[in-house]
Amino acid sequence: MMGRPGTAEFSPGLVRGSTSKEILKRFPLRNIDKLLLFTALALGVIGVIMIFSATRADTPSTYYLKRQLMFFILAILIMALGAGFDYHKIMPYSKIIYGVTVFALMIVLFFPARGGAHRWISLGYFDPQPSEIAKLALIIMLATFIADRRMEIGSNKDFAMTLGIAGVPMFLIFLEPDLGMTISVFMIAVGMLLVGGARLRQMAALGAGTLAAVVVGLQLHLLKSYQVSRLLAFIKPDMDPLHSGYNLLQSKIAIGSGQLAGKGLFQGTQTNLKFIPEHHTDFIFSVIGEELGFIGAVALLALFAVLLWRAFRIALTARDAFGTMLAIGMVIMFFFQIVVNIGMAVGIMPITGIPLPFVSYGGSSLLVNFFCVGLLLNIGMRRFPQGT
Amino acid sequence: MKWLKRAGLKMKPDETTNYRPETAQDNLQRRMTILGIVIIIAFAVLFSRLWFMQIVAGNEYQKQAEGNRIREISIEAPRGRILDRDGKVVVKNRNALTIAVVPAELKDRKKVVIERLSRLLGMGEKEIGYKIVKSQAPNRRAVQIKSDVGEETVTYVREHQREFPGVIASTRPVREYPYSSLAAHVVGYLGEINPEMLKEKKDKGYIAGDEIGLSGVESVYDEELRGKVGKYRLEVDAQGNSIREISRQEARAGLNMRTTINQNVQALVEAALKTGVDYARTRQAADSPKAYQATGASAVVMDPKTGEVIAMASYPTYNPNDFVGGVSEKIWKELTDPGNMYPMNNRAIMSELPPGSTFKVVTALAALQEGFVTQNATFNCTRVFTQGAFKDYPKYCWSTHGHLDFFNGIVESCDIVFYELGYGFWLRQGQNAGRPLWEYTREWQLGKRTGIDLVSEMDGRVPSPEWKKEFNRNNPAYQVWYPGDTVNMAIGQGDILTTPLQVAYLYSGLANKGKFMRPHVMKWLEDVDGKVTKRVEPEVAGELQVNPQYIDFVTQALAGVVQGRGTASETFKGFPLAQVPVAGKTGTSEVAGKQTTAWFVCFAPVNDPRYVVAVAIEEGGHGGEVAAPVARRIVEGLFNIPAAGELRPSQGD
Repeated sequence: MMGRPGTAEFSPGLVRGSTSKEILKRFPLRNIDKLLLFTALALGVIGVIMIFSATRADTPSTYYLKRQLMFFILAILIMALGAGFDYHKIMPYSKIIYGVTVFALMIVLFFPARGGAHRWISLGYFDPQPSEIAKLALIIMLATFIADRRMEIGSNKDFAMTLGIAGVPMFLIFLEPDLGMTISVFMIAVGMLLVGGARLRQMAALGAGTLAAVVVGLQLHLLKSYQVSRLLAFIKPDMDPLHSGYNLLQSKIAIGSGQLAGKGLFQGTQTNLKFIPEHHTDFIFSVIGEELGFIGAVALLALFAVLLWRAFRIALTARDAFGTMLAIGMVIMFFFQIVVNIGMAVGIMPITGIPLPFVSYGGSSLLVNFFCVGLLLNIGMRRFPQGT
Repeated sequence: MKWLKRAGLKMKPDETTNYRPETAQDNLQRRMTILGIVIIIAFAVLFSRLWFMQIVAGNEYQKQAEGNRIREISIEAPRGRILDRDGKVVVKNRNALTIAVVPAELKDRKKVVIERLSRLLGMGEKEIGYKIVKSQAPNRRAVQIKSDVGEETVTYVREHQREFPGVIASTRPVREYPYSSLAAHVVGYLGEINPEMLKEKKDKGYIAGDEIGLSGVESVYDEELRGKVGKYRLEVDAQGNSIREISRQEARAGLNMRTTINQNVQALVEAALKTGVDYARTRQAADSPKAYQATGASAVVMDPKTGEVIAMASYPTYNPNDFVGGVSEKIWKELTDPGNMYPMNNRAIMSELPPGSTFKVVTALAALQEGFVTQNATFNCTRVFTQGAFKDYPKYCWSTHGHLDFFNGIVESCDIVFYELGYGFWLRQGQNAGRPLWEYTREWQLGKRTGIDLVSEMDGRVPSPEWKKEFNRNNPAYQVWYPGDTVNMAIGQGDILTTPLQVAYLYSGLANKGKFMRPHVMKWLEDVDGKVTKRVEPEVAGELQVNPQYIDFVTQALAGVVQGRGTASETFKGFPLAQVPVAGKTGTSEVAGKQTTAWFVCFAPVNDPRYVVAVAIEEGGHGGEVAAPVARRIVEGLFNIPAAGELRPSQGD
């Protein structure tokens, strides 16, 4: 631990502050970001309710509700776990976490495909999705890597290393295939590079490289045709209103028809009639927009904004580079998923199949997201040198 | 920048700087600011997008949502018509007014709608519910509830569409059988595809809810006949009125089929068969106090030179019109009730019966080929056969023929003659000399399907010691091949089984001097413009090398059957044999526990056979009595000979 500047043990607080108030300030739990905590819980509750609204027409009508509720309760425990230890203790394990995750990503490819993709490790009752965990593992790995380099990864070698670290899980997730998750991982890496000290020309080179890779990928048909048509559907949904464009058109109709106040909870006709497929996962925002209207949708946006703001704040006030990078990584992850998911539902982003954090149905995603919140709270409440 | 500080977004150097490298500090602040701005812009974009969609254009979307029902409607491709060999229509299509239901659109109003439909259509609510549940079709696909409803019903539903959400009143092409049951077994009927078939045919474009041929040529050539289903997607409003068409994929009509069936001959054969059955039922059974039951009958007319089946009939029969728009429960029960003798079975290819004396031609030719008997051989029929092992278990002839030669043995169908031939085979079998009778039998294409293009054809059976061992593998006591097995087989009894088509095929091979032309009922397929896309060419399925003298000998003997002392001579009295010479054979085969099956098979003209006719009347009595008269009627029709009026039975075999 000693060699790492980012984690150097230090206790200036004891020297500086001596009043009892100052000392109390150093007890972690007192410094917990309550606003972040309640925002995340509120989002989780909204998710549970909206998932029930979206799936109550299914049989049995409470199947998804029960499962999401169970995952939500589990997620709160996981969140406590994420906050309950000094986050610095993760650092030495980051390589192991990363390695295990990459291994899991390889294993998942050998599990039977569902809907044409190998995304789940089938355990029976709960099938974890390693790619969800991979995002967090990558954030931890990159945060360690960047913090080790004093947040100066300007050298080409470090830049390349960072890309390599991100590239392995990205490639494995691409093989599943899970395009949305692949892009998520990529964006996390890009964001962390940006904040972590990469040079402008390096970022420009990365941009050019990505563009070239996409062109080559399309030429070689590395993408499945449904992926391409989904990606393109948002530009011109009327082109093919019953396939790729269908979900999108229906989603837009759902949201738009929600108008100011919405049709009322459980009153969404679009959702009821199952015009929107995946309404409890990728298109959950459409249900919210339809049933809760502009007010509800904007309220949800506001909650996300608060979440990001608090996370961002934690990144800024973190005690050290590791904390900052960890928090930034999660900010980027949340931000990217929120914008792409909602953007997709309102028709300004391609359909990539990215769930809405905290709200979409899905155990892996919910557990990981709340663990992230736990970590954020962790970083936030340990921003002061600890008194004991 | 005070507000940044207040929001906690301004770095606090006093708390944190020390723990981040000084050089990176400014950089980090700048980079995080960029990220923050990106986030704010993105949220602003989402906000304004929502503003636009829900506030500005909300009304527009609201309207769309109200009317948002997309309905997928299949345009059923008109199935190809089925024509007879001269192009006369056997099966065609017509447009039927139908009532269908899209289950996905019923939802919570299902009960009310079914109730209303029940009243409107005069169907039980249960039956409607059953149809919806039973259908394997996806929820968005219309399930047909009733075909051939009145025009006023359609009008009513259309005018009261609001009361019938999810109900579609429309026309669709359905099968029409203008001559109802004519050639029903050859044509076959249609029904909804079942899950097993669907699994098999999924990659061929079949989807759940499709209609598919379930028997006959409708089944064998379903892929060609069905054409390609079109599809259009309609946007409909909440009341189910269509607003616009979203997409359309035109249906492609199926190919028309020219069959080998001659419609007139088919009608004649069916009528003759019916007459024969009715006649048999008036006759006192030989061995019981009851009349013959005539539980079923079939007849085949084929062209020995091409294998074309000119007519194929099975009795009892059914009316494929009953299947149009889904067979009703009542009729289905009737059709599957064992008491009704399974009218849907095509007995010509599904009934496996001992061929009886019609098989004697095979024994005769095999014996001649083996050389242990000559054409000049003579026999003495004292009605009992007691040679060798049969001393204690004598076998009997159906009559006492006295001294007779081989030729007359065939003409008069003397069993003693064939017992002796069978016994000859048995002896040679013991000496391991020559080829056994069952090998010849298989050469004559028995014991396996003819390969006709119809479904459910049975194999029949040619017994042999190996077969017997395998057949009785759980019962060692029955595995021994006895002399009686060979001897019984020589007269077409025992374990040998043939379908009526196989017997017709056997005689067409004989008529064709040993050349077997594979029987078929499809001639060609043509598209709507009349262009032939597929043609069934005559196929040689087997060619026997038999001394033409032997074939000629047997053929002449068969010609003797219908005259003089022949077993069918009474029946053919008055038939202009000089004009149309006929060669035929009667048969009366016994099945344990049942009345005898009456057989008659013949071909004409003898020297240049154009038709083979086989008739089998199950539990119908003696061949000469009921089967031969039916065959005569058919032959008369084939050669435009004025019908002789009443059936004329011949006594005996």
